[in-house]
Amino acid sequence: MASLDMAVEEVGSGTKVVLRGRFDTTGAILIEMPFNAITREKPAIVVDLSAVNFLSSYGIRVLLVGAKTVKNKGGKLAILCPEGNVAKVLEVAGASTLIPVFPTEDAALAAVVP
Amino acid sequence: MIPHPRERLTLKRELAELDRLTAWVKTIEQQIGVAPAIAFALELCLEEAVANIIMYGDAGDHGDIAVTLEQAPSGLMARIEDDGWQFDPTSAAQRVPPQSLDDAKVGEVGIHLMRTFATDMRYERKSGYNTLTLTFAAAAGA
Repeated sequence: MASLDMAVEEVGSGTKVVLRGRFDTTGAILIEMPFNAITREKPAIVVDLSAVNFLSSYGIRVLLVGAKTVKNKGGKLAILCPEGNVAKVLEVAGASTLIPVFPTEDAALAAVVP
Repeated sequence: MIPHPRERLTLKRELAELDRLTAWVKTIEQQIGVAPAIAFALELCLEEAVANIIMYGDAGDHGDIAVTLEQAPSGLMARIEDDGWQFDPTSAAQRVPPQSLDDAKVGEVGIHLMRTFATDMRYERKSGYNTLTLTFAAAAGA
């Protein structure tokens, strides 16, 4: 059983998508459809990876596809992720040069909310 | 030290098997006391290697995937064997980092992560089997 949970919170005029657990292949497949739906609907999204303890290439793919969807309709998506292994994966994969990554929620929200 | 110095797991070519792989690796990590950075690197590289075989390695008439873990003088060694299409990730072209979201391709990310997080990565094709050997030295990323 994959162990990745997703919760969605409205914070001011932004949307926070909180992921918890392992963002591995099976976890990413589990949340891919509902996550894609949010990226189609919402213009200002912060993906909170603070409680994610593992990230693999399939998870990065889901994040990149989501960021592209939001960008193509004129919105913004940022990642909230503190220092650690998950931040290192984002950096090594080159994802952090394509999607802005912030260590605090305030900074991430400020970057996406118009 | 590992109570049984060599552990082996056989996986079917199904994505759900990745969860069994994770559970198996975590159990061994706990048994032998692997440093957190090595444990993360090991889990990441095994996930990428096995997911790659399951998703792109032609399920056809091919058999199971065997994963072996052992402690070697050079560090923790993981070996992944399968009889699918010949594929050598060590010879894949170096990834050019995308400059924009429009250029971003995700296909090569897994191999790039393996190259970065494993200390050493070797490939051999023998008797119809792909064998990928990954080493994780204690100093790497610790």
